[in-house]
Amino acid sequence: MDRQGCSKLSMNDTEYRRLLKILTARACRVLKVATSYGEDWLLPESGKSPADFAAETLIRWGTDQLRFSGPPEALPGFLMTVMTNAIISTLRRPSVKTGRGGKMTPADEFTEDTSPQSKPESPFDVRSLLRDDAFRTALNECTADDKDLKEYVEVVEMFEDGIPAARDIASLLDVPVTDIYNRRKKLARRLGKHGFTESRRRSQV
Amino acid sequence: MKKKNEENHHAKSLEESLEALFGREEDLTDAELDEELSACGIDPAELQAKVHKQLLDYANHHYRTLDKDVPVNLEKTLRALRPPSAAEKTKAAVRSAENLVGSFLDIAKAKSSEILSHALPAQTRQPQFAFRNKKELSAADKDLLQSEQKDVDSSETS
Repeated sequence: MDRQGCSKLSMNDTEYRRLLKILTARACRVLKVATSYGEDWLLPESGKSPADFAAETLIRWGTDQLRFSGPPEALPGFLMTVMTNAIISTLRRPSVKTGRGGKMTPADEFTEDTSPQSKPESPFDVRSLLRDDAFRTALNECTADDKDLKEYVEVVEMFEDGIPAARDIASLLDVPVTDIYNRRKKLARRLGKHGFTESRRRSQV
Repeated sequence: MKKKNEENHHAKSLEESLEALFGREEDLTDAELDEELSACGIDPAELQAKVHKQLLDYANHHYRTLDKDVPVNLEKTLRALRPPSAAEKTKAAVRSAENLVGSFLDIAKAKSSEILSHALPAQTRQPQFAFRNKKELSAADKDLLQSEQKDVDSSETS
């Protein structure tokens, strides 16, 4: 694909501003999940805020360092993937690895089965996340006073094979799909609010 | 290479998990995005101003001071994220004040007509005739008055 692809996209000012918000919301979610994750993973000590990650991604795209040839509506998804990769990469640098107890964890110490016989399960796989005590505690605290949210998380957990679609969850709970979308939005807001001030203290915005 | 693949695998898993738990960010309306950012302690206007400054610093440092053209997409992004000038802010404040006053008046009008329609007795909601300025009596009125007068006179004589 040629680098002209991204230059041909024409977005108006409102779409650019929305793109920034989408990227920042994604960065918040990624950082939030990473900070909530348990002993084996890491805390975001990179000193970068969600806005910094969003800005970096916009700079890479704005200066044609990223190749994108898809339709304009696919651009936010593409940039979010690029940014999520960048965050994971930043968080995995040895200098930013600090266990929950403050212990430094070298990059190679991640205990995953990387043998060729089996596909290693990512620590960020939804199953692994929900099995992680620290992340689960954070989720439980976010859903403690809300029966519907608690029920939603329990149903997601029930799907052992693969990731459940909203309609699958809706049919299991016998509620409209829009209800599931609303529960997801609420859960995201609650997780965002949950202890996020601590990481914001380290960086602006 | 192995590390990169591993990171991509983690990132993919994380993206899938985020979507499964919280839904897609792109599906959120602007108001919902603002709400989620606010929940994370981020003010959308401050965010825009901060990112604009970062991009502007980058453009100045890597292009303008070197007398190079700023790439088209970066230029566009900068223009879109530029915080409003003082004049634009004033204009926006005036417009929002006008809208506020307008909506306040609309609400006041709606409320007053609602109160009037409920508070007055049913008979007053019907069209009422004012007799105060009536100049001449109709034949029916005259007959009515005469018959009333007769009644009064007859009761006095008896």
